[in-house]
Amino acid sequence: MNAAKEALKGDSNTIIQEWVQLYAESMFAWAHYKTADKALAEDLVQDSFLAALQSFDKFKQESSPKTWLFSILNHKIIDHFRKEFRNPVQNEAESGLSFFFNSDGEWYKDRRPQEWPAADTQLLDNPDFRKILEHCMHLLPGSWLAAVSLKYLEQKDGKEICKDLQITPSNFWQILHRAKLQLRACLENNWFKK
Amino acid sequence: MKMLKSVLHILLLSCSKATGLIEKELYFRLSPIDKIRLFMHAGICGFCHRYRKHSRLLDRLMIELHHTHQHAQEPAEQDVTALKQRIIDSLEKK
Repeated sequence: MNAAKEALKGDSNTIIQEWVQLYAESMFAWAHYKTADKALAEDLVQDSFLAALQSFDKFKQESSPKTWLFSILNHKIIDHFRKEFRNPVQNEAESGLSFFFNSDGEWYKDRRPQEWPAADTQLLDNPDFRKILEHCMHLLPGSWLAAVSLKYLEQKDGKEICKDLQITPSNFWQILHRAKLQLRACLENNWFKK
Repeated sequence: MKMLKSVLHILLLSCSKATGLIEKELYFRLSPIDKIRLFMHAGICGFCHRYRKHSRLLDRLMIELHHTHQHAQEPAEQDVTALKQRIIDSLEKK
């Protein structure tokens, strides 16, 4: 019995090593894009392959290896963001609103939203725009980026994400509010005003 | 004047509160009172009205960006040979 198990383990190890050759590059590109951290992305990809080996018997032939590996990787990325979210740097939570609004809560004159010409989702067809958007996302403080990424990575509704993160809904949307203000201003300054 | 401003802010919200509710309504349900206050605020404040448009566009852009990037077979911008070897070494130790 043990010998049979060992043989199976050897087989799965060989298969996963083949998958490393086939998919490690695109997995690294994805993890690097999501985290903007080379060393972290490498660790996440390595952890994903090790996790794949451990749970190889759960792999169902009907899904493609790539889909399965990417779902493991996405879970690893989400876990990373959850940790980031739980350890926000103190001053991150306090900064944000006072940069855009005066003490009465009104927009500062030079930070008021301007008209965006030709703004629609076709903008993403422009590689220069995508670069700016990604650049602006990665300028967000760690826990803000985590909140934004969790929302779009998981495609869950607000309540579910709050449950997962064990935070209150108001805490979650307040962080998203600050993130969105910063992201909007960054795009305006780096793309729409130019 | 200051008094009038604070009363207006209570009734119609400040821009800071209004933009917060604009984000909140994308993820959670607003109370009927907040809905009315936001509707009135966005009706008279051109900047927050614009912010709402931008915020919704940003949401659509991020969702789209997530999908297109995940499904595109974009190669890594750097050589991953060393990483592949590192992973294979760690698998062999298992």
